[in-house]
Amino acid sequence: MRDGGRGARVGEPGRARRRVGPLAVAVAVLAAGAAAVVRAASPSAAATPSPGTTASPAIVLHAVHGASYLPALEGQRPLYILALGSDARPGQDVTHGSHSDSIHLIGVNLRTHHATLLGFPRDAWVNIPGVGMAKLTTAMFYGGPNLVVQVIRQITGITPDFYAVTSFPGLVNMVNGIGGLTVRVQVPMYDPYSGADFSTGIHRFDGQQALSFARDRHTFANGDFSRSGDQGILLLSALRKLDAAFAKDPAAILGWLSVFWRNIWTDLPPPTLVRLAFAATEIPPANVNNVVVPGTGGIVGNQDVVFLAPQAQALYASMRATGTAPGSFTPVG
Amino acid sequence: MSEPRPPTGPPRSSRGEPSDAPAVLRGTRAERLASGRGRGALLATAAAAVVIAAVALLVLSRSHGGPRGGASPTAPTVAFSFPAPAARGQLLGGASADALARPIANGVAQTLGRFYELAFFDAAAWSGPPPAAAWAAFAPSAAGRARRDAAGLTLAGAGERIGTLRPASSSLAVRVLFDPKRRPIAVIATVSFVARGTLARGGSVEVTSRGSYLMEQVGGRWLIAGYPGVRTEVVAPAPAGA
Repeated sequence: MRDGGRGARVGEPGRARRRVGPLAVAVAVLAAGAAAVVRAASPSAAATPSPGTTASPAIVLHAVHGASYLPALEGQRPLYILALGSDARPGQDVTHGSHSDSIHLIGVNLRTHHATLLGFPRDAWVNIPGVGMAKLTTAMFYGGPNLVVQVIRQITGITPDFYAVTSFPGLVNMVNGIGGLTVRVQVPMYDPYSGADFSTGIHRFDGQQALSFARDRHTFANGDFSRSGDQGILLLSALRKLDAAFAKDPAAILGWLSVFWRNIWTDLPPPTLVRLAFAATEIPPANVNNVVVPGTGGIVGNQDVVFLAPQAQALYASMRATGTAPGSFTPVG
Repeated sequence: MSEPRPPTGPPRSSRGEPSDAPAVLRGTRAERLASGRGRGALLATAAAAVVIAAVALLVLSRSHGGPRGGASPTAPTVAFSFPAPAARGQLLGGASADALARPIANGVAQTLGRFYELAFFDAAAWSGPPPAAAWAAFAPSAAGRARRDAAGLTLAGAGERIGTLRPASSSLAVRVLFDPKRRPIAVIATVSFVARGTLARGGSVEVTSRGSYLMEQVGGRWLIAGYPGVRTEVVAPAPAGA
């Protein structure tokens, strides 16, 4: 986690490095889920007068009109954000020398107000420029977020517009900073390694519980895939919460951005981050789907790895064309 | 909130008390008019006054978007401004920056006060679209959309002619987010506004407007760049026999 001042930003060739604090996280989460909805009163909708507006028993509500408008991000093509979760512990460099435990390419279609969270298995066996074949998670260790961007571009044909990285403590702080997250656990989860111990049903997670939920892979038969899907579930939960908070008080988004800013690293300029956050509020949570790139487990040397399936090419093509991809993650217990 | 501007009545001193100065001036002017030179000056002055008045009326008419059926081409019926806004500032990272937010909040209050004055208290807005000058409160990127959303932002959708309207209560809260270099990167104003008056056909009317505005600085002024949910309601007793 970036603290004090951080030093977490290390310059990398070809890409301006800006350490974005909480806002970046906010944007990452927002963009990731891109799900808040601006709830405006529907124009000309009849409504009941609020109590106390008049003492007359014969009241006519002559007019109720709502208006809503937010400045949109420019661009005809979809927007792509790479959201990474670093396994750096407190005191460690978040963006270099650590692994990305969570890797999501978030596609946002600003015209159709749809978005997709495309999760990549951490152990995907891929070609890393300058390194050779290795697990996707190691790309950040070798070259920071910019090298992960290169690998994702190589795999999908999509160049992420921005990246945002958070850490274990960063995730905990963010979830606590927004008052926790509500998540529906679909299969019983028990993993002493991550600390996950959750029954099925609705849970209200604090930051530490959310981290355990996001890290658990031992519960699942298809561990790496379900873990990625669960990380997407957390992002969607955050977006639903932002949606509700924004509908109640649009100024609440400023607090969210501040919380996120403290806990993420990003190359997003702050003004762009703000615009992106507002754009996210215009995407209904129901228009955001959570997809995990398919693959099969295997072994290379003494490593458990994931070979990405050829069918993934169709997902990438859809993401390239529209910013979104069909499908929905289903956990397998 | 400012008091309604008195439409007529005796001139008042700067303290608001009735002034007797005009009586003194009348006497002085009468003495001057006693001479022939004074009469010539009077004619010239009167002619100039007529020309100035005509030009002023023309300018006012244009600034209000031209004549509209039955609408007054003059200034708003009452002056309006928001009370001192609540200002809250926050740096990215969480530190409080209320002092930095104060001047921004004042600028926002100026823009929104003028907008509400034209959108709700200009008699033209009681029977048609608000004066064109009202849209000057919006950033160029939002002005076109705002015109189309006039029914939600102004009295344009009231559906019934208003006879009089006076401010009743209002509040304005401004929250500002600053980047690490203390530059404002997001400004959101939250408005609560209530006005009461009468309908042209008789009976009371209450107008409320609530919502949030996203503000951005354009050419040194704080203008409306977005409005994520603004709601205007007009409530009145049902007409007799309705």
